[in-house]
Amino acid sequence: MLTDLLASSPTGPDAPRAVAPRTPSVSSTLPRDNEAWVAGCRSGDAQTLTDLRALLVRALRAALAGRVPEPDALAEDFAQDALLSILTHMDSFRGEARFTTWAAKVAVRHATGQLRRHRWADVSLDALQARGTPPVMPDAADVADAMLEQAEAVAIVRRLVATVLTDRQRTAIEAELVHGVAPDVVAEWMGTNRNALYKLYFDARVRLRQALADEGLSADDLLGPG
Amino acid sequence: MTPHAVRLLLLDIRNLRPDEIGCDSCYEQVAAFADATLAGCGAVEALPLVADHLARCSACRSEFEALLDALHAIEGDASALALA
Repeated sequence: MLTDLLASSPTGPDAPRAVAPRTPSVSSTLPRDNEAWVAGCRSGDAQTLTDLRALLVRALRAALAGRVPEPDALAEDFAQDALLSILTHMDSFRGEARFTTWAAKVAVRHATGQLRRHRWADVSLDALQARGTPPVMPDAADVADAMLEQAEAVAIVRRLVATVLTDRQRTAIEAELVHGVAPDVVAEWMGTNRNALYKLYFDARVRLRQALADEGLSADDLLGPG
Repeated sequence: MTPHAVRLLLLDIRNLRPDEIGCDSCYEQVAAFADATLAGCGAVEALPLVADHLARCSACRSEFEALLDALHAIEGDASALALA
């Protein structure tokens, strides 16, 4: 379904499951406070769900605009799933933000996660590792990179990465920093989650910083001026 | 590792701080951070660790940017209704 939407027309007979009417209307969005939104969602109030779905569609259209080729169609599709997710996870809304902000957050997380997975759907961790190091594109950043090379900083970091880090830490760093794979995709490939992957990377940085210190070095020393 | 990846890693090592929060904690607080951002009432000062995480984590940052776009759209509609 996502593939179809990204590749072609936004409409189709297998379009989103209907929880509430599909047509969003600005005029349906009446002012509500958090308490009213929560009460309406918990009770399954039809007008509340209609308004919330319309709000999610508008939010997702804006969130996806410029990021995907068919934002309107995808917004319709993702809003359905997001609405179900919101209703399932109402207990996690603690009132620290506006309900509409929280709901938009859930919807954006769902949509961006789906898009990232779609983008990397045809690539596996094994394939990425087999591909090796990609060529470095000549851009402004490479001027600084070249300076690093001259200072032998790259060789030092490569040696430490190879000797100080665990296999999983190396895998995560290679996938994210070398190949530019999104963290949640890397996490999925590695059988973990984005939060745990962040902790893995945090621990890797702690190890590398200590290893540098053991050699009398710091990251600043290797980065050089500028 | 490419020289560019090494540079990114070194920057992340240099900017390491012991109280960094993870993606889950950021996600729990990012709605409040977004509200404060839109209200212009010191989001970074109120939730500095969220701001720090957003600066570090590309996935959370891109979601936050998309969320702000979404909220601007919602706010725009609300403003239009208020003026009607």
